[in-house]
Amino acid sequence: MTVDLTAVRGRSFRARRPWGLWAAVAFLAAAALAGLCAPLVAPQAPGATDLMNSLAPPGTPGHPLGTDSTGRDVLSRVLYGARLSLLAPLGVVLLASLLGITLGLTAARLGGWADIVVSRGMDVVFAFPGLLLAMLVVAVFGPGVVAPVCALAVSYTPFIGRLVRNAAVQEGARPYPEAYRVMGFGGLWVTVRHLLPNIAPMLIAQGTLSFGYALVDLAALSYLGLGVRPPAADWGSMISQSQSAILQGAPWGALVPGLAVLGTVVSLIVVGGHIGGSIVKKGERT
Amino acid sequence: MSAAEHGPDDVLTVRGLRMEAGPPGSPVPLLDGVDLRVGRGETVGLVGESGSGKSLTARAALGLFPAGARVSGAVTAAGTEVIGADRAALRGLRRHRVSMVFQDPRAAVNPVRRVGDHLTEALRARGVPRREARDRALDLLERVGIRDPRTAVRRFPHEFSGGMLQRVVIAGALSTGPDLILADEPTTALDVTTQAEVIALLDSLRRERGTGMLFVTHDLDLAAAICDRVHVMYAGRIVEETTGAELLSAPAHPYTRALVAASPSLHGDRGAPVPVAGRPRSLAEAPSGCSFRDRCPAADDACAAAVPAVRRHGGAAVACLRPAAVAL
Amino acid sequence: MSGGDAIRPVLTATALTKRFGSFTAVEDVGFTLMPGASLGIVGESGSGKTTTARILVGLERPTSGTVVLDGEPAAGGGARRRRARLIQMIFQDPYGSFDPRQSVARSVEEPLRLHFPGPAADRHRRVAELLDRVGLGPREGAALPRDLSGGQRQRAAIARALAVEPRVLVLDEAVAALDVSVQAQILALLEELRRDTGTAYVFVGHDLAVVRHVTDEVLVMRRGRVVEHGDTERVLRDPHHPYTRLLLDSVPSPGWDPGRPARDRRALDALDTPTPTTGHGEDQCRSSNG
Repeated sequence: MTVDLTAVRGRSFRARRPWGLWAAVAFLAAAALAGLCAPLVAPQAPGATDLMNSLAPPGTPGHPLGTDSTGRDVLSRVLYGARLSLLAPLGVVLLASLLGITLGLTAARLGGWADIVVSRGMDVVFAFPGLLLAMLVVAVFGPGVVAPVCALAVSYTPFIGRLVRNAAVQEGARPYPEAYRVMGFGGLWVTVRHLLPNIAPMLIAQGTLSFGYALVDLAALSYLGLGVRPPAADWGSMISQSQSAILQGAPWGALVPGLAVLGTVVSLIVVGGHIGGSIVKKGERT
Repeated sequence: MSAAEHGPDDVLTVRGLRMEAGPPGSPVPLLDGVDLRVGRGETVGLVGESGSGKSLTARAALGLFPAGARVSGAVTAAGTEVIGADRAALRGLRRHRVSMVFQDPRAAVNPVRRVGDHLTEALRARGVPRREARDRALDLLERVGIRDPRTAVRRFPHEFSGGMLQRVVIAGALSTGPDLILADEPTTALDVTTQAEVIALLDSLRRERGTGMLFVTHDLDLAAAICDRVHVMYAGRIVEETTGAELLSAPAHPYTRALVAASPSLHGDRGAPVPVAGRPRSLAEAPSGCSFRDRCPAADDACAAAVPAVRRHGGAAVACLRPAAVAL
Repeated sequence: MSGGDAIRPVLTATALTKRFGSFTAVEDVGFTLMPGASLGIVGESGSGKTTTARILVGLERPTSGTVVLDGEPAAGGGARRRRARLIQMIFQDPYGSFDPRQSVARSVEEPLRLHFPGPAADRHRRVAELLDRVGLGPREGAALPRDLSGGQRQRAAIARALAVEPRVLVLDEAVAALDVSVQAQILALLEELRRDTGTAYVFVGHDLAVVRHVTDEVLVMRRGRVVEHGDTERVLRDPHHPYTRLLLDSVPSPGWDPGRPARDRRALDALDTPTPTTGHGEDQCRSSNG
């Protein structure tokens, strides 16, 4: 008697084509390239006003995506806006990672009271809404880019810090950190050279997701007028400035940067999810 | 195997068990033509190294096949044909007739439920009233040597040492009065002194109740000491069937002889263990013909031609063209 | 080698005691180890044998007692590198003792970089030499730990431990996780290395048959204390302490009576009763790992 049980799990043998992943990567690359090459590809200067052509619809000659209420070219502004819109969240993620890794590794390595103090401290920050913190900081230091980036970095630190702490505790319980100590290496060496690289993939996944959230938070601050000041512009401030035009039947000024935000965030979530997923798969294999 | 004549009292017979996994286009063979039987009240050893398929064989007796595996042959456990059996039949088999004891007792019990619940669960599932199930659980715990069973049933698994918890697991395995116990390395995770006590317990239960036991282990000394008959597995096939008494004193297959020579001994003169070249293989990695031939000092071209047929050699049945040709 | 004329012990442990809170894992353990000698420490889980090994290599600080390595106390702090040059350890789980991200050759190279700074080419030659010494080729060297078999990983771990040419190698259940046929290979390799390099071994294990074949002298530990200490053959042939007898009777052999250890244990417990060191029966309670 022969029983074939393959049918039960036949699906697992079929490789999935990750076209969604490639689309996300392509979108992110295009956005980064747009910011980098804005002076080369933008048809107009981002601040150049063309009052004769205010609220021109997409397709107007010289203005492929139309103009806003002061006649500034939407395409050029979106391309230039990519710079601040992408750099500022990058700053948030890098700063938060620096803080989070330092705190997380310190907590994991020292253990005991240090661990309790650092972990509880991060819990407190975690419980405090990031946007609210950023608004408070802006209220004190005034709007701009630096203050919101720093405030958001602080509020994102627990996401990274807790992850690093837990991963380092788990990884540190394996025998190899002890093996390196027996070989004469100091704790700092083992932590930085061996523990950190082994938890790096997890960090990259978390960083990618945090980048997306930071982008949305910063866009929201700009939209509220608490972020970048004119004439500098990011996608959030573009949406804010164009919202009155929506009621005048000219939604493109807000729609285009809005779609840029949406596309970037969705792509980041797809990429971050993929990195996280491949870590899980690797974990299952070993 | 010729030695495995079917008896009316057999609680487990395995005939020509073959198993393969992987996609149908490129199958991964796991087991090839495994034959064995366990009689009532008999302890049968299944000995081998990693990749030999000994655990797969034992689990097959309960209808536990790896996901996606294709299985052929015949496996009859406590009168039920396991291959192709429906869920209800397998559930009935596992609930009433056949029990399994695993290597790690902590993996075999639910860590957040009290030990008493673990023991009464199977009984309650059979419709035994609560009070009676509880009394039975207490009785079983006493039987397996747990002091103060009344306190023990209210404890959680983490409050027990490994050896004590394995006793609890064995009590659970016995709760349904099975005809067959499948013991998969049940003492490997335990200290030697605890191992002896657990073995003594299993042995006394076998004698009193006539339960048959398939005992899977990598420990030749243990198998030789407690088993009536021993099957030696290598790379998904049974290469030798012999008696427990002759396993160490008169091994016939070159692999069995190599294993005996490689095991350090506690008694006799202090001859150094003799290493075997290479590493244990699984069936998928094994060479054509005799799977052991790439590590066997006596192998020649004839061994590559076909998987050697089983032949008698003294009291043993051996799948080798030249049994006992390799010096011990 | 040491400069003195008389051969002095390469390792002396004196009155080692380790307490974790109120639990005493190791109590008053002492021994000496001569160059090239092999000492076994046997016992069951919770006997304190692993804690003792960890104190020797500096992974655990003793509550009291001293470890003297090659004539000088091996205190903590700045002595870490000196200690690492003198004493190395092989762990039970060879896979876990490697950084999973690094190739085997890189893992072997790393201690060389720390202890023998010099040209990279010399180091690479030494790595190839070490791997060859334990029977691994360049292909295994380039592989990640997860792509090697258990035996190959343990060989790699031995190569890494020998990289600093230690005087003492602590083997903590180093062959317990290996298949019998592979275990014999590793035991043969260890014996060969001891003969060739004169490295002394501290072999921690529960398998008396293995300990018999690799050690000259043995400590039997129970509940943190040494209950018997002597020549390995003598201890196994003619045990003086009832606990050693219990351990020996527990090992299966032809004509084995598994009921006998239970009787031995009762005799042992009767011996224990006058000095109630532990308040509760150790059987029922989960013992701490040691």
